[in-house]
Amino acid sequence: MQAKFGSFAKLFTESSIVLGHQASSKEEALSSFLDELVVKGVLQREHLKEISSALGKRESLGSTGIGNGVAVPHAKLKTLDRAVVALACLPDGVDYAAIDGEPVHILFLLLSPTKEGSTHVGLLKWIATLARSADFRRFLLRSQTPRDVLALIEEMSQEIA
Amino acid sequence: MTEVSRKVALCNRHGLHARPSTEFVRQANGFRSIVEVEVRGQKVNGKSVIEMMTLGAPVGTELLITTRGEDAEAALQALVNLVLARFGEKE
Repeated sequence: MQAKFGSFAKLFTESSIVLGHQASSKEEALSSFLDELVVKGVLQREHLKEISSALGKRESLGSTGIGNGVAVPHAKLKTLDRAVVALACLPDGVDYAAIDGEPVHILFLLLSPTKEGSTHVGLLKWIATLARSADFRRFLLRSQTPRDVLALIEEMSQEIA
Repeated sequence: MTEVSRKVALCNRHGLHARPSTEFVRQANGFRSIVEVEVRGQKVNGKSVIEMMTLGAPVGTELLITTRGEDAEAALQALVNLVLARFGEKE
């Protein structure tokens, strides 16, 4: 698992980390996050509609706000050949209809290829293990730059492995 | 104080991903008893979605579900049934 957690950390790049994200609704939080990722070259504009639709469909099954201010919007897509992960921090929080009723400050986006089932569960496990740590959440929300966040993710991934 | 346990294997294709974890926790929170889930020595609070998701359990994984409290039997039965019903998933 140590090697795997380390390789999951490498899925993040500076471009896939958005700090100071603001939104007045869950839908806006997701759509503007996706737009930002297109601008930064993490996602392609021609896939945006499909991704938005898949994420919306998943949210309609039940909020991905899993508690402690963390949400894990995710979807499986046929058009992907490898997983895409991204992270947004919302200092002011947003109402996400999370399971604990608390506002969400951290969005972990996870897009997986349809064919890779075990990787998807493995990635969710890794994200949940990071998110469970109050230290991780606190340091994440204090991070000033995407580079700081990358270093934090890498360090915490090694600790939790 | 009643404490009961049972082992049950995950039989839904995608295992304990976010939706089944959330459904499990939703049901668990409907009971007053403490709910604990153990997989290969890792014990988590069955009433926390984040903790349940840290199990990362694929299909076939055996969960040891323990409930403790006044409604322990009812809680355990409900949660075992949920797992056996594949959390409402088609496969």
